[in-house]
Amino acid sequence: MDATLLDAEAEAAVLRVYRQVFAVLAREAGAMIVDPELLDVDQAILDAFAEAGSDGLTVEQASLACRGYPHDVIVRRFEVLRQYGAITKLVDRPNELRHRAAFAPYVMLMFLKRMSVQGGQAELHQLLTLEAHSVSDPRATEDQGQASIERLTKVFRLLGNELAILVSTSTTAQLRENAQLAWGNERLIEQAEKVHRIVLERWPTLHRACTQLRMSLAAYADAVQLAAGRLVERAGTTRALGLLPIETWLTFTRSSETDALAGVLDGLLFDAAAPDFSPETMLEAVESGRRTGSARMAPPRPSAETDAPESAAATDREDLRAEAERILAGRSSVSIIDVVDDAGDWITARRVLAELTAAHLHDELDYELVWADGMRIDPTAGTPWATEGTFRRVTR
Amino acid sequence: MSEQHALFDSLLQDLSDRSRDEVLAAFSAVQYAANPVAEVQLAGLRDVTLRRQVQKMLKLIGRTLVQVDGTHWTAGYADDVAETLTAQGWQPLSVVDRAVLVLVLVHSVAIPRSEGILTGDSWKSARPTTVDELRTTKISSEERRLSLQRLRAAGLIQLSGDHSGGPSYIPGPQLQRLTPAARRRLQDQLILAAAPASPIAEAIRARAPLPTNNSPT
Amino acid sequence: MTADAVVEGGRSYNALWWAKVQSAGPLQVSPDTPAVAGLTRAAEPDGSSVWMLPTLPQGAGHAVLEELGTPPVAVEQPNETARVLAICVTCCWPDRSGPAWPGVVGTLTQIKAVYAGMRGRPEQSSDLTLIIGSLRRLHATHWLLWNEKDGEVRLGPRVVSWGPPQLAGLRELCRVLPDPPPAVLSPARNPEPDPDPLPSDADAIATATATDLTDATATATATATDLADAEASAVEVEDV
Repeated sequence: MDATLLDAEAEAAVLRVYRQVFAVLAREAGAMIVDPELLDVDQAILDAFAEAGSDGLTVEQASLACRGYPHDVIVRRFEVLRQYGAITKLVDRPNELRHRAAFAPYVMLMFLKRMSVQGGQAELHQLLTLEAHSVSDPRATEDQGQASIERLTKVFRLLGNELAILVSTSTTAQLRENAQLAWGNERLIEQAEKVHRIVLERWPTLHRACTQLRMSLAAYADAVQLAAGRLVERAGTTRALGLLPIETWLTFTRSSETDALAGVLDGLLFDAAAPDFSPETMLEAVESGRRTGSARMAPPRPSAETDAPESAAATDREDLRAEAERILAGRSSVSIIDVVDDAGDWITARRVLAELTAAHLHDELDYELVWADGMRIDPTAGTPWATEGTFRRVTR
Repeated sequence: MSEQHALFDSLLQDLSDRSRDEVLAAFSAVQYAANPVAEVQLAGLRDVTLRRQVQKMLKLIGRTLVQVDGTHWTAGYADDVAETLTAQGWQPLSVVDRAVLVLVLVHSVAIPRSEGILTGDSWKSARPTTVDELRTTKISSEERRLSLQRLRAAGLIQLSGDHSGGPSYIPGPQLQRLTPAARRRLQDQLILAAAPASPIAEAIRARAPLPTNNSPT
Repeated sequence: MTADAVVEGGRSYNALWWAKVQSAGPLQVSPDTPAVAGLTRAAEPDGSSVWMLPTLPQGAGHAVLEELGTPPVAVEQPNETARVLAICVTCCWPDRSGPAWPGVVGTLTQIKAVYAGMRGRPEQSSDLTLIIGSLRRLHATHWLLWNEKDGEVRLGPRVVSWGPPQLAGLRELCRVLPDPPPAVLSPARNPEPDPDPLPSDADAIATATATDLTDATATATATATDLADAEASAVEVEDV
């Protein structure tokens, strides 16, 4: 990589920037990092420099500012960044301890982070936009147009090669992991074609370079199709779904008309609901309904206190629902004080409260029982002491 | 013994009483049980000869055996029958119900697949679709509510166990009744609808259709 | 040999009809639709159409599922739904010596009365929510034909699948449930008053008829109001 870049641009100033930006990728002088966490350390150090202002930082100050990381790690990274010129002495003299940081490595870090998340496509889109912009500039020269076309030709060759090699050598899983190379290709190709069109119109003599770009775009498109075909072929009956980006699904669900959504099930048939009711089931249901009803009519006596909260209703969701609806009587919420007073005596009230609690806790019923801090004291009431609260419907 | 059955008797009359019982039990289980039944549980599924009888019964009524996970069986529409009927415009499930079902399938299956967190190759998923996720569309809340009820009653969706954010749904057991060809058809049509210009959609259009298979025994 | 094995394409004809019935539920077709092997026919009382629905050999069907421990798709509110179906049987099947289909028209008023009687207490407004929800579920699956506008119900074509052993169980069920009050049908269905009453009884009959009609109107109004309420509350209750 370095060699290509050096051949292309050999000037010392350019080299200096390259060295600076690649500092963040250097494990030590002459070697690449293998631990991506070091990028975080580098960022922390550069962040510290940004905060430090024009006084710069000594290595100890930097270490103090980055206390989240071990001291020796900061010192080592500081030294690597210094060797590559990403950090330099504030004033170039032997006993100078304070350093300043260049901005280019930070920009590089930001690009790296974005590319690591998005696979570089967003950056490529931006690059294509910039290229279109620069070849449209009235001051642009034919040489610049040619250089632009050649750069794009190389980018798409590299992209196409990478994908073609993946298709021929990697497993489906590896290919799937790199599927983002194939996503959004339409848009990339469109943008490159736009640059191509601008250049060819302005400088028809560049037709040869433009042909090269067209060929590399075609090769990329072929590689995408090949990759997609192979992925789909091996995706079984549902796994190809994973080849689309999440955003595509979200857009589809949010923007599609009902008909378009329903159309997905064209050609498929499903069974209608066909529940069975045998006389035995119906008889059991009626019997349990009768038992519940009579239990309600006769509230438990004090002698059966332990059984009181365990009414038959507590075992049946529908009956809980019925009880909750009876208490609510069409309202959306009801005061617990009213419920307690309506019940008359405490034994009955306690049974009702037990059922409301069960309705509240039942995970398929939409009711809640909320206790407040206050308390009602009324010696004339059936239950003189009652905690305030609300039983209500929850809309979900 | 029992009264005549105009459709099945020609198949059943040659069986011993015991085989007949086992075939009918297996037939009923794959047809009417909500979930696929374990092959080991029923002689009518374990025994290849009996299973062939079950398959013949199903064929008479436009159905076919569908194997699930290699160990379970259920029944679904034979591919040619579903194709013939739908080509005639036969689709009892309403447009709204189909749309809501598709939304659940996208949120519970397609998106988790894109996130790489679903294993296996079926329309089963434990990832719940919340009512909020269903709300982002052109279907009124009343229509959606009724539709969710109907889809639940048919076993096309079910309540997920996760009630933390209100009720939420996952694909129901009926999705397991889809034959391999139907499962793939659903996958393909979903991709074609969501990303018609994508290379994946292009690859799907270029691919030869899956051969329909109505006799998995 | 059955005809379908002889006729070219007969098997596929049967298979397509069975698939239609499985995907849509019992189908209402014109009476001249040719027979389909294994699909039984339930004629509408006025003869204008027939319902087609599947029959299975003995030893097949839902009854097997319980023995196997492989349940069918769950019904929402199974107990309430089964109770309401039971109540409709008792209201709509007056001739208990004959089959349940087609039975007679019952009313929401009857259902509410029997429901409260079953619970052993007076009618409550919250009953209606549960009853309407169940009626709709049973209508959607063709166990009942529920006319929500008129508040009237009939047994649905699926009851044809109840054979003699089941009917014996249903008779037992009807003994357990309270007897429904007489049905008061919506005015449109009311039989014409006797056009030529005897002169001596004319006044009495006119009075009685007027009273009946007033009652019927009052009931119809109450029904409409109740339904509007139930509509509102059913929305919330059923949104599980």
